[in-house]
Amino acid sequence: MALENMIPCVTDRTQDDVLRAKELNAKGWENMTEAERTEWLNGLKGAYNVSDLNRVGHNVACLAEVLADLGHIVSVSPKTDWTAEDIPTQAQMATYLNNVKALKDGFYGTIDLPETMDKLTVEGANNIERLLCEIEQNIRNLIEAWFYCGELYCGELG
Amino acid sequence: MALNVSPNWISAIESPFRNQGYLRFSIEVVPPGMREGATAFSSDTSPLADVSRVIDGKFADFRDIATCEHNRWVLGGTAEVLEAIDSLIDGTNWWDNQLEHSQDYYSRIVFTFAEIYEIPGMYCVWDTLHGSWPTKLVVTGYDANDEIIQTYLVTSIAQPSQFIETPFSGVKKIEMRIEGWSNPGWRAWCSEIVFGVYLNFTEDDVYKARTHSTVSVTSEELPIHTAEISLGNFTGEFDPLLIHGYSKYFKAKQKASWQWGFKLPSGVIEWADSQTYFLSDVVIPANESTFTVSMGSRLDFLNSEYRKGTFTNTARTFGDIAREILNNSDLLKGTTDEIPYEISETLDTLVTRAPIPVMNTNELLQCIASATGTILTINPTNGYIAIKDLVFPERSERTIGQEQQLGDPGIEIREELHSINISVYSYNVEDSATSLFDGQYVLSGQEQIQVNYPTAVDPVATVTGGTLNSAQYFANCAILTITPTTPGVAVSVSVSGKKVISSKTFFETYTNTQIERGLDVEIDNPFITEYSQLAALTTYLRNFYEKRQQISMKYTGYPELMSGDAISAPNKYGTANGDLIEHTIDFNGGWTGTAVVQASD
Repeated sequence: MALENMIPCVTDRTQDDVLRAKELNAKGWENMTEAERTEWLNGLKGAYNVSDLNRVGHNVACLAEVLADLGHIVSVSPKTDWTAEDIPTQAQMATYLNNVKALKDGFYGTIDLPETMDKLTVEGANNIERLLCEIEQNIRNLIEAWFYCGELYCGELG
Repeated sequence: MALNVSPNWISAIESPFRNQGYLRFSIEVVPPGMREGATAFSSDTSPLADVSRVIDGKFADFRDIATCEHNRWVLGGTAEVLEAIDSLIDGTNWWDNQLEHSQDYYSRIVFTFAEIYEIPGMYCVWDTLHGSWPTKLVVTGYDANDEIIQTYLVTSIAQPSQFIETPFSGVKKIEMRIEGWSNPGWRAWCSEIVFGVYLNFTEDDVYKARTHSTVSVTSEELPIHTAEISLGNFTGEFDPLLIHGYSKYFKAKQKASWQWGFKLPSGVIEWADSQTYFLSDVVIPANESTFTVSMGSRLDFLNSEYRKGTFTNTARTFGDIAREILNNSDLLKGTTDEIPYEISETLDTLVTRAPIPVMNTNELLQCIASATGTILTINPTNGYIAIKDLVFPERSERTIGQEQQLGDPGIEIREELHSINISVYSYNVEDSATSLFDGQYVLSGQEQIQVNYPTAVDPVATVTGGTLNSAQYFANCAILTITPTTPGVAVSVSVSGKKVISSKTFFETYTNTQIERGLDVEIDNPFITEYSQLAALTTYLRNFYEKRQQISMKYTGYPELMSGDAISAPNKYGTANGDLIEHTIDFNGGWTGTAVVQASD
C-alpha cells in the first residue's frame, strides 16, 4: 500500500463544531433545512463517527505497511469495519489508540495522543489524526531523502 | 424545618417594605398507585438498558455513552467508553436495540397495570441528553379483557419531554410503538413515562393560597401539614361535574408541589425549596370563577388500622418498630423502592418490650414519638414522614420582631408544672393456649381472609369445611388463604394461641415541691416498658411544659418558616423564646402569617 492510499485526515475540529453537532442533533431531522440535512448526513465534525474510526484504522494500516516496506516493522491491528450499530468498548478503543502509538514509537512523531478515548474532546480527536499526518509527512521526508548507494559524492548536497 | 432560602431572602422578608411574592403550583394528575403497580416490558431493549427504569419515577438523566450511531458521539468531553456492552449498566434508562424505526420496523414498550385506570394521557421524557424523540408513536390501550380500547397515532411530539394527549378509560395495558425517531439511524431512548399530566399554575392563576402546619412537641396530637389554594377557572376549563377535561382525573392522594418565590431588592426572583403535598379534595363550584384544591401530608392518608405487629417479648428498638410499621403500611410512595420516611437515630438507642398495639398507623407513630421524646413531623420538601429530635440541624432560629407583628400578640400562661406521671407497662404471655377467634365464612372459591384477635403469641388457625392453603400470623391478626370444600357452604375458622396480658404502673417522675397545685401531666403510653428511659423522657417533658407562655400573633409572614422552628418573639412584655408550634401563611400576591409560639417565661 502506498502513501497515496491515505485518506485525508481531519485535524481542524473546533469547539464550534461541537456546538453545531449538539444544535443539529437537538433540532431533529424533520426540522432541518435541506442544507442542514446534507451537512448532518455528511457527518458532523463535532461528532465522532464510524467514518472517523474507519479512516483512522485505514490510515494506520496504510502507514504500517509503508513503514514495513521501509524496514520499520510496526505491529498494529487496525479495525476498519466499524458500523453504526457498534458500541465501542474500552478494550477496542485501547487497541485503537495503541495502534497509533505503535506507529509513533516504531517510527517517529511528536504529537501527544489522548490517554484514552473516554470523554474524547475535539483536541484529542484532532491529535490522533495530526499524529498520523505527522508520521505520513516524516515518511515522505524519509523517502525523499533516500538515495541509492553510491549516488552521492562528498559535497554534493551542500 | 424551615425551607432553604438565602440570607438575602431572610433579610428582605424581614424588611417592613417588601417586594411581591410568587407561587408556582403543580399537580401530578396521575392515578394514585398506577405507577407503583405497573410493569414495563420490551423485547426490543438493548442489553445495556432496563425498561423498568422508565416507570421508576426518578427522571434520571442519561449517562453519555459513546456509540457509533451517526453524529451521536459528540466530542464534548463527556461521552464515556464502556468497559463491556453485553450487560446492564447504570444510568441508561431505556434504549432500544435497533437503528431503524418505521411502520414495519418499530420498537415497542408494553405497560401492564395492577388495576384498570383512567388517564388523560402520558407525560413522556425521551432522550434529554442529545435532544431526540419519537416522531411517530402509536399508543394503544387495552382493557382488562385485553381488548383494544383505542389506538392513537401521535406525530405531534417536537421535544424530548412532552405530554401526549391519549385519554383512556378502563385501561389495563398500554402498548407504545415507536415507528419514527427524530434523528434517523439512532436508537430510541426513553427516560420516564408518567401516566397522567402535570398541571402547572403560577401566581397569575392563584386567587388565594394558604399553608398551615402544626407540630406537637409532646406528640399529643398528630402534626398538620396542609395547604389550600383557590385557582382561577374563568374559562370553565375545570368541569364542576368532573366529567370533562382534566378535572375528571383529579383523585385524592395525587402529588402536588408548591414553591414560593420572592423578588429580592436586586430584582432577582429567588425560589425557595418546593414543598410536597397530596391532594385531599378538589371543589369546583359551578357558579364561581375559581376552584379550590385542598392538600395534606402522607400522614393524613396513613389512617388505616395497623394489625400486622409482632410480639417477641424481647427488647426491640423504637427505630426497628417504626420502620416495620412504615414498611408494612400503605404509605404513599412515588416508586416501589422509595423509602418516604426519616427516622431519628435516637429511636435506635431506645427500646421497648411492648407488642405493637392495634391503632391507626399514624397514631402508632405518634405514640412512638411520645414514648421517645421526639417529634412526629413532615419534611416539607419531599413530604416524607419524619420522627426527629426537637433540636435538629436544619431547625431555623428566627425572630418575629415587633415591626413584623400585626397588632399585639395574644399571650396565654399555662399553669405551672407540678408533676409528671408516666406509666410503665409490662407484658406477659399466658402459659397455655386458649381460643382467640371463632367464626364462619362463606367463600365462593379460594380466598384470602383476615381474622382479628387480641394480642397473642403462637397463634394457630384451624379450618373446618375447607383447606387452609397458607397462613400468615401477626400478634393481632392472621391472614389466611382458604379453599372451601364446597363453594358457597360456610367454612369454620378458629384460631387459638397464648394471650398476651399487660399491666401498668404509674411513676411520679417529677414533682415540683415548691408548689402545692399546678399542672399534673400524665403520660400513658403502652410502648413505655423500660424504667431506664423515664429520666430522659421526664427531662424532655419538663423542657416543654416549663415553657408556659403561648404567644399567638399575626405578622407579615415568613413563608419559609415551618412548625418546629425556633422563634424569638419580642413583645411589650419581654421576649418570648420558644418553639413554633403552629404556623399559617396566607397569600394573595403578598404574604401574611399567623404564628403560635410555645415559649419560656
